[in-house]
Amino acid sequence: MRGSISRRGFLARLGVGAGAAVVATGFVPIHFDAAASPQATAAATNKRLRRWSMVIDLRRCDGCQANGTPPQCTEACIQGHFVPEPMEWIQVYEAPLDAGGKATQFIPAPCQQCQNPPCVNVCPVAATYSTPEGVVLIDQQRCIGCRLCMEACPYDRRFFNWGNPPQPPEAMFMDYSPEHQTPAIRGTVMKCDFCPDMARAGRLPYCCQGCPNNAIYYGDLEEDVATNGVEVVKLSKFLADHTGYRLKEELGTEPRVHYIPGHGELIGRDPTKTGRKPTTWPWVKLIQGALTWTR
Amino acid sequence: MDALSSHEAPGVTPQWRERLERRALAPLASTGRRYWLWIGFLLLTISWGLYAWSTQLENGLIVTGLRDRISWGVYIASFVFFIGISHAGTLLSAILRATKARWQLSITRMAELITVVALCVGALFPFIDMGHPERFMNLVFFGRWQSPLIWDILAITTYLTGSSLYLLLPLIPDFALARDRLGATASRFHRTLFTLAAVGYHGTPAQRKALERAMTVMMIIIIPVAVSVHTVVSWIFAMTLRVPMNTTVFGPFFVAGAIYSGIAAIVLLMAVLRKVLHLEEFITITQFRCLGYLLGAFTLIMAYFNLQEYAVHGYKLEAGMPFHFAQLMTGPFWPLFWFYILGGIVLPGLLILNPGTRTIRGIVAASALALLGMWGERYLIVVTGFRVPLMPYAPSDYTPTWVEWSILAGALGLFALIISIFAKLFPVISVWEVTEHRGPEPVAEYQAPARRRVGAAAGAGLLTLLMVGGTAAGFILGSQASADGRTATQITVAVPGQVALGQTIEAQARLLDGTGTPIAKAIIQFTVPLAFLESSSDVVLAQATTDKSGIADVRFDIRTSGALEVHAVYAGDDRYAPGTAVAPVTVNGDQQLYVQHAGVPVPGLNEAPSQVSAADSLWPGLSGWPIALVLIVVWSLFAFVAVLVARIARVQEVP
Repeated sequence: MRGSISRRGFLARLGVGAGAAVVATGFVPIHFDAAASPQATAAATNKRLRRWSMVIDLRRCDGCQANGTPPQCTEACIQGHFVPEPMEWIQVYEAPLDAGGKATQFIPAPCQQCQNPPCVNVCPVAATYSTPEGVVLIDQQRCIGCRLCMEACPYDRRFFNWGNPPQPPEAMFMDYSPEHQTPAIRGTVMKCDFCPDMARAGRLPYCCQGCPNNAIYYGDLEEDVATNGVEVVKLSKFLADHTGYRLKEELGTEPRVHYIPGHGELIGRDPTKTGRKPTTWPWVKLIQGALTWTR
Repeated sequence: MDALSSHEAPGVTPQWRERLERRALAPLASTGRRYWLWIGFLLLTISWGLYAWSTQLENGLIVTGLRDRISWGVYIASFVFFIGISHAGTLLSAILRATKARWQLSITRMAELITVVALCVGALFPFIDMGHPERFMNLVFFGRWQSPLIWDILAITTYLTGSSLYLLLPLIPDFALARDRLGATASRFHRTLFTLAAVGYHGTPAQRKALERAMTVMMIIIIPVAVSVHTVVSWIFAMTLRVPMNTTVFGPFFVAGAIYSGIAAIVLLMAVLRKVLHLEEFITITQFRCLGYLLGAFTLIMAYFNLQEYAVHGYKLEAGMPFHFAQLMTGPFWPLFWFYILGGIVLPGLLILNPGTRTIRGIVAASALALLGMWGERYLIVVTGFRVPLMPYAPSDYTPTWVEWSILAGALGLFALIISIFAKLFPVISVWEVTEHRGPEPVAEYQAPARRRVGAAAGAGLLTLLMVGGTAAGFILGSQASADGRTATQITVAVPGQVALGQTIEAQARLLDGTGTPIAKAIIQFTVPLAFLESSSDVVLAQATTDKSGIADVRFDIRTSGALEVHAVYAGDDRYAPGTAVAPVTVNGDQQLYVQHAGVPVPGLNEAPSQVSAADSLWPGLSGWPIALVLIVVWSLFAFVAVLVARIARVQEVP
């Protein structure tokens, strides 16, 4: 993730729907990017909006037990976004598969990007909002820090800057946008932003790039495709074929993050082998006297 | 001068009136050293709270015990608590006045005072709890009608305005009394205050009529406003999907708890003021006992609501509830929970029930217990509600820090300070109302019998913690063996050349061997090469098994527009070699296909936020109008009351 700064800078200069524009002038409709689409001829007249989505194939997630590292999706996200410790915008939970808890599965959980988002409902100042592309973002420059959204989120996917979050010097040179939330601001809420700026520029989000087993697919509900960086699949068919589900479906939040049930069997994980390496914040360690806290 | 005394309750004698007026006006006329010591102590407490708050402003909320998983604590619990005790005024003044009860007239002023002061202090807490208090104007610029926090702000502002009016209206004749009685001897500051605040009231029939009309309007409108305030406060919890908070009982439960703690607060305040200001003649056992009965009745209502809450949840024990019950009853919160149930509800009820403890002391003790218990209940609702894990993680813990306790202490100091200052500025007894409608208190006819001990047994029920297991399904991928020297195959595919975006396409593939014999039971995959983000590959659109004539029929849609190629792929097996057929297809169209789900479209609850401009978000959309209309009605009634006050001020001739 050494190259993340230059990539971020590049993206910021691209200015595709930069946060300031979103907030000041309302939604900037973001159309299919001709450069990112193989159907260049059709794209010229295409007015369709992307509806970003994600599929996480739990059959290929072993919590990075096999490579003996902390979960690489989380690490990539932390390095790419300068996520302050102890936030894990995508967090790999270990859930028991049986009553005794001997067998477990790993569930990487980013913000579920609900289509009926409880957090957006309750925000008093519209600092958190759904974009037409379906991503739930937070404008940290408007957020008053009341934390009503953290109360409302049923997935524990929101994080608060309780103190002055440490930020590397290079973060200070980045143009702030709700789409990458850097530099972090004390007293505001942060969470997974689904990297729509990267996707628009034709790149996969950090977590998908980081996953060594290609378990995370990033997709578009509108074009009905998704990719993990290796293969492209028809999203609806992929979910139907493999019994896709969503977390806490009964709550009616309509998440955009889907899961394929499993416990790492496709990559040879023994479900009774439990535990994973704890998450680290490598960039935070480089900052002397960095202020951190626990969740 | 005696225009104020045109109506008198039976039994009122000039001596009694003189004593009442002297007692009520005494604190306004002179101030002792003890008062200044008390004020000094309160100022010290407030300064300490301010110091703690400055630490928090400097370092952020990290100085509190709050963290991501339990992100609300003492501040929000105290907010709910203070808004709760503000219901004292409504109940005692409005409901009892509307039902023409008379015993409460000597304490209505105190009750109304508690309302106003508790609201002012309580409303500070969300502000203190904010990560960016300096951005509070965003609530005005970008406020959304959908947010429970905005409902709180609107409801509390309305209630504060209404209860301030309701406090000030009955004060007008008493300010006139103070002006007439103390005018000559009082300081210039007092004289100016009394004259201005009395708005020229002399008790003329026209003024009296206007005042009574204004009070009638206020006493009726303040009741629904008060009920709505605490309902809305409960909605900042009940509008979430968290397990213990996701319940419809919270509205009435919070209102009942508010009135319960409000009664307890007024009992404590009147006990203190009665002692300090020597009002024993006018606030007697009658007032304590009547309030005690109310308190006792509300212990039953609170018990009922707790039964409702815990029986309904406990019977079903949905996911998360076993954890919640265990943490409350036997887990880390058991001391507080059982203190709240036994000490905060059962014991006050028994103290009231038992004639031996139905004394002033017993009722004050019951009230103190009820107040402490209710603060504990607010704390439990907030903290344990947040503590139930939402995902597979170990539950967090929360210990309030010295900053939070200091700010709470400072807020209590501020509460006492405002009350103490007000007690110096106006009579804490509504002199004219007591004179006109109540008269002397009956001589205490009641002798407390010998004390009996009240015992309460506590038993803690154990609940089994159920593990919530996830489900998992295993998938096994089959592997395909291949062999050389297989029979050649020929495959053909038929696909419409021009299709519309998202249209269901019927495609057919035929699989024959080298001699033209159909191959049955072979799996044909229909794929299209697509690129998306960083990758490109053959995307499987559909698959089917060939029938006896070697034909595989499939239906699929393509949501990528442009010129594409559909491949029919036979992977081959032991006998037959693989084969691929290609057919071009052009997908036309650029309309949006994916329909976003948006839950139940309740106006005002899950409509998209206004992102356009400040003016647009201020203007109530379809969703905001129901709230706006209610506010318009309530505030026009407030305005009408203000007009009536102006009328009192205009009619100034002394009859």
